[in-house]
Order: sequence, then structure tokens, then C-alpha cells
Amino acid sequence: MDEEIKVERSSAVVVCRCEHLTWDAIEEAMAMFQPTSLRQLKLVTRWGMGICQGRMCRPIMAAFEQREENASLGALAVRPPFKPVSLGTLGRMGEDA
Amino acid sequence: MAPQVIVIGAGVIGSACAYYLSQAGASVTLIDQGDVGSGTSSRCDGNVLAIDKEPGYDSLMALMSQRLLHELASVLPPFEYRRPGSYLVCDNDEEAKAAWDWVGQQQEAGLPFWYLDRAAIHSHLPHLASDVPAGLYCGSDSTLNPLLYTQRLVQAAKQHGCQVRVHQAVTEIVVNRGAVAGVRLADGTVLVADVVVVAAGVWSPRLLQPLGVTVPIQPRKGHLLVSAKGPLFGDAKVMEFGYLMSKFGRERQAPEDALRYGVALVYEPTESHNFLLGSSRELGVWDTAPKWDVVQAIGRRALRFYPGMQQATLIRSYAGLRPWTPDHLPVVSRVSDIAGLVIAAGHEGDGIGLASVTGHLVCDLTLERPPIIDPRPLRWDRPALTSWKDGGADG
Ligand SMILES: Cc1cc2nc3c(=O)[nH]c(=O)nc-3n(C[C@H](O)[C@H](O)[C@H](O)COP(=O)(O)OP(=O)(O)OC[C@H]3O[C@@H](n4cnc5c(N)ncnc54)[C@H](O)[C@@H]3O)c2cc1C
Ligand code: FES
Repeated sequence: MDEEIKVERSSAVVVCRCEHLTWDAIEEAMAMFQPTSLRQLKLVTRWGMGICQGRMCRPIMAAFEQREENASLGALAVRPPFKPVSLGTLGRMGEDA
Repeated sequence: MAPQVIVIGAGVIGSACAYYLSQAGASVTLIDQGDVGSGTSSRCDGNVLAIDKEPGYDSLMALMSQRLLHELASVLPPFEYRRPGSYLVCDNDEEAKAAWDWVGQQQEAGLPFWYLDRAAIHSHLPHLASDVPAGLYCGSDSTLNPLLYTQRLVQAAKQHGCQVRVHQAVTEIVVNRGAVAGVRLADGTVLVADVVVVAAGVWSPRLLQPLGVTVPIQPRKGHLLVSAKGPLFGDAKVMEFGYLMSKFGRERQAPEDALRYGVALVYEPTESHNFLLGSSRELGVWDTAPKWDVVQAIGRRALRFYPGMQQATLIRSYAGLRPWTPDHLPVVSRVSDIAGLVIAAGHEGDGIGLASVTGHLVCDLTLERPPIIDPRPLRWDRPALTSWKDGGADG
């Protein structure tokens, strides 16, 4: 995860697999909504809001964050991990405690 | 001359106010301490409901808002607006009986409600637990993406000349000789205005208190869970009837953890093919961090109605602060002692649904046009609010 990724700005590159987002979609959202923070961009595009919880798309996002023209968007606060859990497991947790 | 209006708060309410005002020709500045929609309006569901409103003023206001929203959906760019209707499902026979009475009252008031007996509810909602005795359906209810809706309103307001200032907190509403003069920002700048609309959600009392205007708005925290993309459990929204039981002055029967955190089932499929589960109600809690006990109580409640969700995967949870008022109606009002001061806050669990009618009414009050609905029940100094004493709430 720590290795630096170079992401070419190419329309076909998928930046989030869970939400089927390409660079194009991100650029489009940037132009349309002119978000002032990454949280806002994330909320309109659902970037990083799929099941991977950022594990797959986080490095690409980091590359996006580091672009000079995006400096004003700041860095993205990483949400405390909520490990995907099935509802059945969730309901039973703590029952035998 | 067009009045200079400052709207404090770019949640769904302030954004709707900015939209209607700038469209009507006012010169509007919309200010938020965070981003557009960064308060409660991005931590909520997108249900636009008449199904849970008391017949009378409440339901008429909700229906008027639905009508206006329907118009907005045809003029604004898309915001995932759909009208699948909504269902309320009953946990037990006592609730089924109360639901029967409720539907009767609503039908008398001319609203599109239907009672669904055991056979009917299970044919409408095949995923439901087999022991659910009854339910009801409201045909006019709709749903949307709340953050997108808020942003669309702001975009459209901008096209009508609205100025938007984000990441700028208002520290003070400046009043001079009984009239609003403007607002002071955190960096000391003063912006002048003829009218200031306070649409700061749960934070509104902090801006109003220094002016001697006391409005008993309090946070009522609510949690939501988000599922992974996967099979849905039906396309329509489903809520449980139980949380309406208090309106009938009857005790609700539910597990202890559900009662403690005010948990009632809300199932909302989204356009991104995942679903949201809610929700909880905790009065007076300011902390927006999700709490595990509450998340679990919501999960268990969902399983009671949807046993097939055992395998469904949850990926996230979040919580927001509903702006609660003692009589569950918002404050949409001028303040007679301070010319130019308008309040639009306190929409509790209905701000998304009531944003359109609120924005329209604020515009009417500001420009002194005939109001779209009777504004009197929404006055800030109505007896239910002025007589309310802290501690008297039951949550
Ligand atoms: C779990 C949950 C589920 C919900 N589900 C639904 C639903 O299905 N349907 C529905 O209709 N409603 C629902 N609601 C309720 C709805 O979210 C709220 O009623 C609505 O978002 C309130 O909007 P608002 O604009 O008044 O407040 P907010 O969205 O909180 O906006 C207020 C804004 O004011 C800004 N602000 C505050 N103080 C200042 C200051 N001093 N200077 C500058 N800016 C300031 C804040 O940053 C914020 O952006 C739900 C709520 C929750 C918590
Ligand atoms: S790749 Fe889907 S959330 Fe990141």
C-alpha cells in the first residue's frame, strides 16, 4: 500500500471498482460540483464508498490528493475501519457475553 | 429594490431558501461554516413522507412539499428522485389495529392511503417475516439523494445570482435599532443585509440566543447502516409502524434495546443498489460518532422484519443530528421584535421532505407575498415552544 503509484490521467482508468468510477467520472464531478473538499467529492461520486472501504481505491485517491491543482481540497479523513460484517453476525455479537 | 438576504446554513433547508429567494429576484448570500450539506443533510435518509404525518396541518404541509418537490424534479438536474410509495409494517396485532384506525383517518382526509391485511402485505413485500400481521401503503411518498438534492438547489441558486461562501462561520447576527444589519464572520468581516435567514439546523439556537430569541431546538441523534451492493429486499421503502404508536398514546412493544435507543426499522433501497437501514432516536446527544450498541440494535430490528438479511453485508454506519422541537413542527417564522430576522430550522426527521415548502414559505415571508401555507402553526413564539421547559421531553 505504501508504494507510490503513478496514475495516468486517462479516461478509461477505473479509480473505484466497487462504484464503477473512471477518471472521467471524477473529472466530470469536479467540473460540475466544484467541490471544496475531498469529503464532498467523495459524497457526490461515491468514490471509495463501496465494499473495499478504500482498501483498493485509497492509493489512487492518494495520488489524486497529491496533485498540485487539488491542494485546496485538503486530505481525506480516513474513517475508522468498519470491517464489513454480515447482519447475522452483527445481530449475534455479544449474545453469549 | 431587491432585498439583500443572507442565509446562514447550506443544509437542505438553507439551500432551498436560497433557491426560492434568488429565483424570486432577491440578492442572496448563502454561508456555511463547512461545505454545502456538511451538517445533518448528508447524514440522513432521503425519504419524503406523508405516511407518518398526523392528518391535518402536518399532512397538508407534507403534501404541499411533495407537490413542490415534484415541480423541482422537473426543473433541476437529476437528484435520484423516485416515487415508489412507502410501506409501514406492523409488529403485532395491537399495531395492526392502530394502523387500521390510522388509515381510516387519513382516507377521510382524502389522502392516498391503503390498509394491507396479512395476505396483501406479504404479496407486496415477499421478503417480510411471515408473522407480520398487517401493513399500510402510501402512494404519494417519494425518495431522493439528499446531498445531491441540496447541491442541485445550490447550483440553481447560483445560476440566479446567489453568492455561496463555504468554510466561513457566522459568529454573530448584527442587530441595530430593532432591525437586522448583517452578520459577522469568524475573521471579523461584517456582511450587510436587510434580511438574515437562520437555517443552521441544530446549531440555530446558538445564533439566536444572544438576540434574546429562545428556540428549544435540540439534537436528536440518529444512526444509519449501509449495506454493500448486493441483492435488495424490495424496491420500496419500508418502515415499521411501531414508532407511530406514541402518537396514539399507546405503548410500543419492542425489545429492550430497541426501546432504549428509539430504534425502529427503516429500510431504504438506493439507486446505487445498496440499502440503508435505520434508525435510532436519542434526544440531547451531540456526538455524531456511531455507537456499537445502537448499530447492533438496528441490525437486530432489521432481522426481525427481514430474516433473509442474515447474509447481507454491512460496510458502514454513520449518525446525524435531527433538529428536534417539542411539538415536532419546524420553526419557519419572522421574529416580530427584530425586523428582517427569519428562522427556518427544527425539521427533526423531515427536513429533506419539508425543504421545498420551507424554502417557498421563507421566500413568501421575506418578500411579503401571500404564504403558500398557513404560517401560524410554525411561528417561533407559539405556546408549545414558549411553554416548553427543558427536561420535560420524553425523547
Ligand atoms: C439518521 C437520520 C435519518 C433521517 N432521515 C430523513 C428522511 O428520510 N427524510 C427527511 O425528510 N429527513 C430525514 N432526516 C432529517 C433531515 O436530515 C434533517 O431534518 C435536515 O437535514 C435538516 O436540514 P437543515 O438544513 O435544517 O440542517 P443541516 O443540514 O444540519 O444544515 C445546517 C447547516 O448550518 C451550518 N451552520 C451551523 N452553524 C453555522 C454558523 N454559525 N455559521 C455558518 N454555518 C453554520 C452547518 O454547517 C450546516 O451545514 C434524517 C435525519 C437523520 C439524523
Ligand atoms: S474500489 Fe470501491 S470503494 Fe474503493
